Amino acid sequence: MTRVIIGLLTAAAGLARDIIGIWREETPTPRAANREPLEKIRGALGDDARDDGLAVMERNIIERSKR
Amino acid sequence: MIGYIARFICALVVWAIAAVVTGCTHSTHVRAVNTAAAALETTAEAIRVEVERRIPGDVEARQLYRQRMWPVVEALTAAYAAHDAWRVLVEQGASESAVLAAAARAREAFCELASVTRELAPRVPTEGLCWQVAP
Repeated sequence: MTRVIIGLLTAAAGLARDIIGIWREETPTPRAANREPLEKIRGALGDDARDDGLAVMERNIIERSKR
Repeated sequence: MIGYIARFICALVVWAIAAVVTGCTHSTHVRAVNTAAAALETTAEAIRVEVERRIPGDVEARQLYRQRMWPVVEALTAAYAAHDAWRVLVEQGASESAVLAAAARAREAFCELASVTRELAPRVPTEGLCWQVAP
């Protein structure tokens, strides 16, 4: 009877190993979104885009206050 | 002895069911993350095309255009960051509640991106961007 139990345990361990192996092979991995378009947009607008925007706002405010 | 074997088989069945349920849930999250990545890439590429086509040559107009489009860049950056945070949690096999919370945050960022893009670059298609994140 002990041999039967040991045999069952061994078979179960082997089955579990196979199932986990198949599952790992078949499951796709989550992938990151490609950041290239974002980098290109930043490049096209310029890294200083925010500063430029603030500079234009500041200049507009100064010009309005002069009038 | 037969009782022990029956209990052992029952435990095996329970373990197998739990493994299948966990595996299915994980696969669902992975598919949702990858679908969202594709949606984000498509939108980012469309925005890039629009920006490169529309950016004016004149220095003053260029600065105004940069200023106008900056919220889109910020929303896009936030969407990338939220998607990345969600992806890392799925990759690490984090708890269901943590993954769902991250998915909700990513969805919120995607919806914000869709809203800002619709307002500032209406020619860029954003249909479905808001709904593709839900697992």
